[in-house]
Amino acid sequence: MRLKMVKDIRYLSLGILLIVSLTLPFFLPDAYVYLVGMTFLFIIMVVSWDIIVGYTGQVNLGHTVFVGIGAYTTALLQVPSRFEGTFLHFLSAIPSPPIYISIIMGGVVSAFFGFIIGVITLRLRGYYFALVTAVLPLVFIQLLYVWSDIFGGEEGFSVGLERALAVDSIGKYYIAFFTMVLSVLIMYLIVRSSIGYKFRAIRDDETLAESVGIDTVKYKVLSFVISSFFAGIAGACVVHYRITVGPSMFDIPLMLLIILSAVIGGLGTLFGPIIGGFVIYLMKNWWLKGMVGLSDVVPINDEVILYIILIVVAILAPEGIWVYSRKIIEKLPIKFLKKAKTT
Amino acid sequence: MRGKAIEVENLESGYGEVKILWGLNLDVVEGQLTTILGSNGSGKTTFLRTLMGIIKPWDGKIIFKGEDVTNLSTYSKAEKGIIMVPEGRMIFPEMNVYENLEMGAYTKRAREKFEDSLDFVISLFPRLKERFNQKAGTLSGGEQQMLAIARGLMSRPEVLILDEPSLGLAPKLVLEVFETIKKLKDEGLTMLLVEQNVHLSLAITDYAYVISEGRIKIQGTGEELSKSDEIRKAYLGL
Repeated sequence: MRLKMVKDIRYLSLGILLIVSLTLPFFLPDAYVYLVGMTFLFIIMVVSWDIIVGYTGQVNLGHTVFVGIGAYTTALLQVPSRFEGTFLHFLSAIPSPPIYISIIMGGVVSAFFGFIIGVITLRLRGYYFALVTAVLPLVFIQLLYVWSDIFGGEEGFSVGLERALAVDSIGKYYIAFFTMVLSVLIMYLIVRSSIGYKFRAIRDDETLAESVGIDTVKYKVLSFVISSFFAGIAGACVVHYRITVGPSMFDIPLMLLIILSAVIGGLGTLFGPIIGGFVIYLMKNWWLKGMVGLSDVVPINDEVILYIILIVVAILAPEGIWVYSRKIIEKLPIKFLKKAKTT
Repeated sequence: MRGKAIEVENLESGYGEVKILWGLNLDVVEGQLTTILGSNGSGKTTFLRTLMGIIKPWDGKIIFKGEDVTNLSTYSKAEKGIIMVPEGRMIFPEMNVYENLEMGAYTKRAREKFEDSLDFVISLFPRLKERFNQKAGTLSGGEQQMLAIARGLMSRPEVLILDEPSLGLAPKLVLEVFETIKKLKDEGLTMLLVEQNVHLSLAITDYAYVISEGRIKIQGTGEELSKSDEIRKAYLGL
């Protein structure tokens, strides 16, 4: 009964979200439509991080690297002339594929790197994976600087207006939205399947999972590959959304924002990170923007507020706002039912 | 003469530079309950971890039904039917009881007989059925232990290895666990039990080994060892 109620409410809120998301561009000014569209792409990053961290229990601190690999893959596929005059000049002869193919290629290349790093580091248990992935962003950013002829160094480079996802913000918004829905749906089906069970078994107890007969290394790597693939897709979409690619888009602040969103939303719940990603990204880039002027008067800024929220959530609802609100919903109908019975 | 399910020959292993097992030899006979006794730090857990392939053996052989399985990984051993119920927290706490049992029947071999296994397990532990939808982490200690054994049985074990199943349980529940083990033994299941509870273990076991400092010190049938003075001195304090 209660379970059904929660499910009903979940579907209801999903339906409302869908309608709101689809009609939003008609109410909002263009600049905000652009921002909400970016938020959808950010949600893909948060949910894909949740697959490896929340569901499989392997702490990945270098998720943005895979976002970045996807981004630079599609950018270089679209602008192969970047390779001219470098030691990789032979690559400049590759004809550019259509944008959609090149976005998928971004995911594939990202997944490939995820596979290599996963096979090496996930064979060991414990903190090795977290340590290696923590170092990855530093290596990645350095590489972009060292080979600045190709990657454009600190400033990055533009892929050109004609390679945008769509001509206007509204078009981009809808493409970002449907990419998000499709990606999240696929990830949802994966974690609901028997593969998802195996991920959760590994997270709960790796030794036990192994003694039940699960090839834990294989499934940890699989989880990492899936996570990296969608990170790459998100990164590639961002490039065609913003028309530029640059290292600042994939730096440590983004990683912190992903962690913040997933933890506040609720790790290992998939819906939590969607809500967390949505709220935190818009807070950071929109609702808390007014704080910037305020910081001259009071020693506070948007980052401080986000971390205060994290601390409050960690104390009051350690499992995240999704689980917390679900518990409240579960309690509600009982009260109503009891009242109905007594009267 | 019954066949041997597991033969361990001259097994050596350890951690880093430290050698813990100094050449163990033991057999698990089919259809029998074999027990390994030993105090803390004697090498019991290291032996099980080596046997299951969680740590790699340094030397020696492990033979399962005539086949050399010394260097197989834990999950491949599970696929062959060497199933361990590990010590301590032995369930997936975030999954419900039914999902835990499903996880038990993970291997292809076990999945085909899922329904049969489930019926058997429920007949053994009727209480679990009432709790199918409950999160396993919220069960009482005794129920968690029952679930762990039930999950082991769902794997259709050729050999069921139980690592200190009575650890941390109230005396009454300890008795219940041993009664269950006795029942399984009467069903003809091959089992390897590792225990600290000497009295109860020797009362139900067919054959027992006593490990100390990584070596087998004494071995014999349950009855022989219960009467042995050495055992009495070392473990019962008599």
